[in-house]
Amino acid sequence: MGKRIAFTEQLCTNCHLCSMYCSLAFTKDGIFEFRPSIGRIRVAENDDDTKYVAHVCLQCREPACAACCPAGAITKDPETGIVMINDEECTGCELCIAACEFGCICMVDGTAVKCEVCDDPLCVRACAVKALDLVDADDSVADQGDLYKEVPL
Amino acid sequence: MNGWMGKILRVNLTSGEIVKQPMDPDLARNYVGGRGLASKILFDELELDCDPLGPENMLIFVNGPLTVTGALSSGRYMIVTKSPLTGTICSSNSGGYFPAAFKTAGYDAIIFMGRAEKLVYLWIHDDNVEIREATELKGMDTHETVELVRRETHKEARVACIGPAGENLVRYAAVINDACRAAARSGVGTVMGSKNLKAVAVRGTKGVRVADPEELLRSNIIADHIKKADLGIAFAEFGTPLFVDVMNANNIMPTRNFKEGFFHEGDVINGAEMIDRTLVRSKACYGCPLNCGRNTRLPADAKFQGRGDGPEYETCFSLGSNICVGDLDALTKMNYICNEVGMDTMDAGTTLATIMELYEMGLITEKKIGFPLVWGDYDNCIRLLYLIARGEAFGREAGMGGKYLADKYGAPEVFMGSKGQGFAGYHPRGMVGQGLLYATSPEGGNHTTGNTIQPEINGIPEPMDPLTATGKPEMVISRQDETAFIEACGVCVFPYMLLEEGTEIIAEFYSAVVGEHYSEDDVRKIGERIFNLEREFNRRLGFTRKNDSLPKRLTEEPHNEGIGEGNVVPLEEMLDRYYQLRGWTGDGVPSEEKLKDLGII
Repeated sequence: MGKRIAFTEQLCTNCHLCSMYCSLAFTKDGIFEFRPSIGRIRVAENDDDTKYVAHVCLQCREPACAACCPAGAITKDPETGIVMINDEECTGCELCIAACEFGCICMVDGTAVKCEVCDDPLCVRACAVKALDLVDADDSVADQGDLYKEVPL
Repeated sequence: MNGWMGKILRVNLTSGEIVKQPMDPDLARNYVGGRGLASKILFDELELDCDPLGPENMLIFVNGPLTVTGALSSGRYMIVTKSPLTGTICSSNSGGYFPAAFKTAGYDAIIFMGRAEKLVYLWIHDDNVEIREATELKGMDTHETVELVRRETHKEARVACIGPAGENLVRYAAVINDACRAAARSGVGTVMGSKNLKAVAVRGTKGVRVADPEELLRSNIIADHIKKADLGIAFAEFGTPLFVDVMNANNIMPTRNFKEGFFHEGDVINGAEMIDRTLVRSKACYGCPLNCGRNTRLPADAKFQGRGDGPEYETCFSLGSNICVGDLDALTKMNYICNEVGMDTMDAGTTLATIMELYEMGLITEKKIGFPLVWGDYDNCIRLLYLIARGEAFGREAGMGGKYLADKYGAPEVFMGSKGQGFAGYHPRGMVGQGLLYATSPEGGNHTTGNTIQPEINGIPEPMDPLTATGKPEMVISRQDETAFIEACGVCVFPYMLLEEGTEIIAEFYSAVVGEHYSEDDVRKIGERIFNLEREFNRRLGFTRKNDSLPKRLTEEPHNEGIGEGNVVPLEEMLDRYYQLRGWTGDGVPSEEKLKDLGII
């Protein structure tokens, strides 16, 4: 069974620790770096500061990002259900970013990146208010998706 | 360098010149960052006797090596300058989201010098830094400014700015970031206004290196511990306004300009009442696992309308109990107004309290103010707050602060502050160590250079009598030095000061970030160095024992009925011992030997 990161808006405090710790998982060469701008999970707030929404890939059943990728760099792993980007094949055209209506893909150094669900996700560990959870991918994603459209990045 | 970004930005607003200079590793080692680093730069470079509002004053925005690391509550920055309110060195700090953007843009500090000819703002997008004209922002409040600057720069830009109060040189103007968080004290917004600098907008995408991230993940365990401790549960649930109940229960909630220590309408302006009436949700600053922030909105049936953050405890005191406003709607509205016009809620409140007492004494008349101003009259307080921000009518002189007014109208004893800055919300007659702390703080009546609630009221680490001098000089010295180090790191003082083992934890986090071992004693020593440097800065301007004073109300007028009835602050007795322990002369001057020992001279 595949996994994804579930988000509970009511618990979020807009602290961005998830983005900070996510970025740590992607630093290289034995250097540890908090670089929230490369986090695969990113928090948006609405205009009147009443909702805080952490955008993280829903691992869609039929991913629009994969369907539109001209390089065929995005695939949904048939076994795990996780939507993966092959960074060697990605040309940086950003079509996937436009195609994802949930705002869950971003560009880092010319390559599209997204949450590919770590084994023991640092974002979940870092969330002090337990607004994030690692859940089975077949759980309903509709509410989380609606939230992403309501409070876009 | 782990922790530091390794770069300092210098912006000369007179010439428009922008220079990036590398961070000196020795400076980082000895003074860390934040208040420490910036105070050292000011000490070395400033013409000490300059006019705080002249172009020669320097305004330093600074974060610390722990900002945007996993260290507990690591989302702070501060502003260091020579204060127009006190004439001393000062540092005023704030949380929110601006500090993280500022640091990840790649800078440990921004030093502003000179004065722009016209109103300008600074736009920083990582390595790109430009000064932009801001004449169209003139007179705008802080919410409008954030909106407009974002439209002109980037929708995710984080903005720190002044409102009309800063432009009009109200002596206690604040720098407001993210519309609701304030580097409020000591008139740092006034200095920004004097430089014709309306805003600093930042977008940062760089990273902060750390040595041992796993160690930093302990922050959440510690945060859990704070939330589970008695004080912690209340803290997460009620935010800082929970202190209204703590202070009232201990008869130390300053009321009616510090005449009393108990506010009868406390339960109308406390954290529980906010949950019932105004709280939308709790929120955190960047990188903080606690969530003491209050996102609030005045309900539809309230006599005032608006939305924003808070009020925090200090405002419940300054614009609540201390001016006898027992009305949450009015208090919340005044808090919003101060954030919008960009001024310190605390000195705004101190100023109102001073005027109210002078009015009661007949020394300031209705004719002078333009309307009556009796205790608790929030409608006229609101009128006056707007006049102050705009520099109109009586508001012009009220914007000079409580000390100015008390002196001018012939009753200097009614100003409740030290070195020209109003006190925070802890009544020293009921916790005399706090009195010593206010008197010896380098920036006057401030609660951020140390706080004695835990030792004096909550008995942590061990119970002590809040009403006597015993043990107070020792305790105050360690609180001041520890706070100086914490503030130098760029983290929030709050959790560390709540925890019994706070100093041990900050030393461990600092070690984990920089990758070298620092003990508790090591970090205390750095804190002591920073504190002494600030003291020596002020000493060179003529500040000595005579300035480490408290108003007679605290040292001669007996405390009101309740806990501590009849008590006064034994200041001189505590000062003698404090100076001796500090290694200063009886006149409060740091000895040459002490300064050399700390590497200051």
